[in-house]
Amino acid sequence: MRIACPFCGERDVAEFTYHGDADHSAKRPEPAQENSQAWNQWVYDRKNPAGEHRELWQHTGGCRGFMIVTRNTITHEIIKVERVGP
Amino acid sequence: MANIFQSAQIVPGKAASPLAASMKAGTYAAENGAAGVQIHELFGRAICEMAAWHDTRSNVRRLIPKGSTAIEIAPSRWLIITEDQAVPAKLSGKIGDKGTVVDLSHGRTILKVSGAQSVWVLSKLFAIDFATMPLRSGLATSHHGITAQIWHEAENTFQIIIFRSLAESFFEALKAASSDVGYEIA
Amino acid sequence: MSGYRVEKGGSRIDRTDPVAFTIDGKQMFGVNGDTLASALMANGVSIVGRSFKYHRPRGLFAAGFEEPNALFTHMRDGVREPNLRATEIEIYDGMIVESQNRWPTLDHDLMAINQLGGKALAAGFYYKTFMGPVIGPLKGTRFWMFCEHFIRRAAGLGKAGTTPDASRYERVNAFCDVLVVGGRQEGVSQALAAAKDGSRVILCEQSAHALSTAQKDQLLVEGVQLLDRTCVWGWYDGNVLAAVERVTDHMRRPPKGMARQRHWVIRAGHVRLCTGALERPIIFPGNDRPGIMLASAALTYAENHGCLPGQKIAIFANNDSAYSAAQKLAKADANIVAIIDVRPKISEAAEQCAQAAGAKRITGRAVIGTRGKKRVREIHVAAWDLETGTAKGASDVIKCDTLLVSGGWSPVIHLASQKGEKPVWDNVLQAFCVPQKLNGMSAHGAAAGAFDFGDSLSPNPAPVLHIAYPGKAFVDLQHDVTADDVALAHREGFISVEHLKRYTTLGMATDQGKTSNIPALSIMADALGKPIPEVGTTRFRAPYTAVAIGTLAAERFGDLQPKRLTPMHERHIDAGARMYEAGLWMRPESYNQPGENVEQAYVREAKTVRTKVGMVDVSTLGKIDVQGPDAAIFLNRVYTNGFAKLQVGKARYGLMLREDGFAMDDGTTWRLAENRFLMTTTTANAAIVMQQMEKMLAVHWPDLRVHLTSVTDQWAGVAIAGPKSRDVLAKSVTGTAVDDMTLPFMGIVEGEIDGIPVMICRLSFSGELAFEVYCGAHHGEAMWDALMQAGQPLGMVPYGLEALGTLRIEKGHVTAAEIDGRTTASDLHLDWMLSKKKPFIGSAMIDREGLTDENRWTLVGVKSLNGAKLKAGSHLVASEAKEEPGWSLGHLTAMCFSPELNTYVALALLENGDTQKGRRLFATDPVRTGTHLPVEIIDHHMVDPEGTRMHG
Repeated sequence: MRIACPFCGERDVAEFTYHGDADHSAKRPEPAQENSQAWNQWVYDRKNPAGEHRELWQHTGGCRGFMIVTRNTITHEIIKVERVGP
Repeated sequence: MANIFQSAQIVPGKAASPLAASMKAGTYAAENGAAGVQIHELFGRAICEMAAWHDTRSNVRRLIPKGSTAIEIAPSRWLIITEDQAVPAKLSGKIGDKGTVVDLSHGRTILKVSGAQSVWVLSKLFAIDFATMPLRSGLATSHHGITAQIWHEAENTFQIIIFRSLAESFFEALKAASSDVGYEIA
Repeated sequence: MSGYRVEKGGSRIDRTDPVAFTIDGKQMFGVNGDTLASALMANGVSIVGRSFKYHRPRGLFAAGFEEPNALFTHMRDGVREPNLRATEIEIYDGMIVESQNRWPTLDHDLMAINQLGGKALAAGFYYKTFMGPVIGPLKGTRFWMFCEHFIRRAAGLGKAGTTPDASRYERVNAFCDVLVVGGRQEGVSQALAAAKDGSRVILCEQSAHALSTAQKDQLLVEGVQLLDRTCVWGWYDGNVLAAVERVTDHMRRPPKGMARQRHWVIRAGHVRLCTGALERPIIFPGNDRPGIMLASAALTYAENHGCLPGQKIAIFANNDSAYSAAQKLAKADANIVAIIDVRPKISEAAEQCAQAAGAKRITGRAVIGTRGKKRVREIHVAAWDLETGTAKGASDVIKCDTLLVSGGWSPVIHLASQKGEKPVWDNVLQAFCVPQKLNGMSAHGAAAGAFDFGDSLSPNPAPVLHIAYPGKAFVDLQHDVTADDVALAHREGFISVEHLKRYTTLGMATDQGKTSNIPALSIMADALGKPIPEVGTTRFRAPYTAVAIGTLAAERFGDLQPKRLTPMHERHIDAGARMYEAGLWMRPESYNQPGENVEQAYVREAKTVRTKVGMVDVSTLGKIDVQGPDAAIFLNRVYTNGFAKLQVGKARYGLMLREDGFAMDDGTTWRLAENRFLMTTTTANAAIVMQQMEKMLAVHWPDLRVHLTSVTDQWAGVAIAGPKSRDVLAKSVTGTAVDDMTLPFMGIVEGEIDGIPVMICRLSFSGELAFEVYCGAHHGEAMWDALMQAGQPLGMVPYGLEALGTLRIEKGHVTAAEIDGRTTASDLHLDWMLSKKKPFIGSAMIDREGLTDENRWTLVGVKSLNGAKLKAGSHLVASEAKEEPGWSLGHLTAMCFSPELNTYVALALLENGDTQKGRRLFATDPVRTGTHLPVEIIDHHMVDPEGTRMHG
């Protein structure tokens, strides 16, 4: 598999590290919500769709940047790659 | 406080390359007597990483010293290599609140690979399309988990910048990859 | 007499250049350009293998990668490479090969007695006989375990060797716009066309000598990169293709430094499949006798190698291509006695070919049986009814020594199938073809089902692939699967093609059913009463052909992971240290003096630290530069304890949790300036901590201005520990004082050692008065030498990982062995570090029920009661009875011999550990050492619990 890093260009998947469901990752609850349902959901619940999935990847073997990769988990086709970060 | 972390200048006579023991000069020719690549270490360069905040890119970019090699390894983050030992301290002094500078002079090893077969040899170690890599450009990649930055210095001439602790392992892999075309260690 | 070399033909051989090779200890001669298969044919060898289960004699069946029978073991310098197809082995002078799966020889295989077993070895024999519950003496898994040794010896392939493979392997990364797979005429045309359009083109051809010199020159002129002897065997996501190049396998003496095989990883914009098609057989009883082969294979041997398989050749076909082959073979001096065709009528063009070949036409008939002991001697032919698919009437006998079979052609679409493209059944061609639209890939020529067998000859076969008639008809020659096995499996309920394949093992041999796939499907379709497309086909998987593991390992062969060396590595080696792999790092385990074992060495080293002073290399600790105006805020969120108010020039011990509230890592972090920290992590977790922090900054806290840089390799570090450690520094450090005032506990100073700038922090892992000293990594050796010199008069010794472990176990300090992903801060008695004043990563989750349960396993000390050596990983149990140990109450995480307590001690995680002090338990290790030792639970602070030594 090849991922088009928004900064480095297309590279082998071996240069990347997977960090899980991107939509889930984005919604970290406020620290004040001690022990709430929201925290429990955030830590443990993951989507695992058959089809399009937004995934968080890091280019650890390159620029170390983060990106959201929209990928079809059935065909492995990569539809979109977007940079994440300041 | 923190002076040596801003600039860890190399003290003459006290510094040793991680390849001091394993790098033996000589020609290790291929079957046909040729040495397709030359390998040598650029030891003693000042190396530092300079990074801007997302809104200070142009302020920081301006600070890149003339005559130095600067590889943008991540957005607005440059790996700067120079023979001028004073550069890391100078940059630390100049950058102020516009970004950060980290001296890496001791933490990286630079191997220069040149010669007619350099692209063939490096293609064995890196999944990079060297044929389309512009001259005087650089990139960040990795070989089997060994993080590496590559600078395309000139036609058939590359600098490979790797972590110091992995230099020996990488050097072994580089020699093995060069053994079919032969290599010369300067 | 069977196969032989004819006077003419042989485009790939040089008759003037004889090549001697040894097979099963016997010398034979071929000529330059021969494959082992063609050389064997030229030498009149009929039997080239014994079948998998029944040990039936088998002959050459094909001429390429699809060969199922002729498997050999190649030997070079004592290294065995088994299961190579004779059709792929290029002979060279002095080559040594061995036949397989026979005893004592191919010609006389005593194991052929298995044939008499016949029915007993039918599909599912192993499952039925050996699996399932134990009923009686001759059934069940236990019986299998008894028989396995004998069965594995009787049924099998070549033997793997024990001599290490000294070959070198390598990977080559390639990029191109167009990859052309297959280099016959079609492939060359496609490559040239693409190159003329300005594309970067790579052409891979699997066999040697397939391209003419003129073709090679043309490709060179157009800039096409040609990879000869290179088989593209796998398609992966993103049009990444894997290929194996056999670089030196055909050479008598491989050139110095050359890799034996290359693992090509090719990233292609577009793939053009010019992989051609494979002829497939018609299945009939007795179809596995030596002398029976594919018609196209015989033609290949004749045209490429000037060999003919026999002197009286009959042909059995369902299509016109066999007639073209017959005519060409006749031109090469072959004696074609008859062509049997299942079709009642053949075309005018086919008729003309047959006449030109001088062959008798026998139409509307089928081969229903064969005879011959070691080779086919006669075939039996009966009338065939195309409508009902049955043979009828009496059979005739035709004498021949060779029977060529042609059941039509199947395009080679493996790579498209691997890609996930669903093959489409073409009822006219009786073959699976690639779908019309292929993303990033296209098929051309025969690979696309566009066959060309010459003027007016039709490529369309009659739909007859199986002659149903009593007798053993083999579908999968390599795995000995018969048409009856397929029918039996169907009767037993295996109606899905995927199940049927696995139950019968059809198509699962090393040839992956390249020739048997379509005939097998046709038999299944008959059994199910459905057309082939409804039966469906299995998806092809990589690799297309067998690939050596060494080739896949490539540059990592014999060297699975890189090694990380500290700046003082050479010093440790010089000092005689035993080196230990800790993750990627090489670290000194102990510095054994002559006559010392590891335990004696580490006990001596640890004692020296407690009584005098020792020095240890800590350069492997993860070190991260944390910089920026928000660095303090960031660390305050990352660590459980406060860092915002840490003074510049001071260090603090910090603990990190995961988001789920479990402990993740610990280490000290030094404040070097208002906006700059040096974080240290454990050696094992450096990369994970870095990634987690980068993720927080990129995804969750993008507003924080903090930069992270790994500086692990920038700094060489040592820890100097022991009551005399300050004396060592006082003697060696200039530019700063090191007294308690200037350098208090957790204080940091800068100075010089032997002219080298250093930074010193007073902190302790051992529990003794101790300092960590850092300098630029290039200066590491010089600093080590200077400190050693200063320390020697004070009795300082270097100490290794074992002594480091001993000191920390005695002190009750935790490492990754205790921070194992299942422990909380409270479990490790680190709850004092959990700030109540601020949120931090994991703070929202630490008060959950399960994490505060009083019966959780917590950190305790363990002391051996009888002086016996404990083993880390042992479980703590209450029962004295070794055989009935009862429930595990906890486990030992680390052990050592404690010089302070003068016995073996350990750290352990124990259920409700805080209330167990003084309790007597047993450390049981049933699987590894079988020990069951009495122990006492003690406090985890075994030495100096008040900490007076390190603060003093």
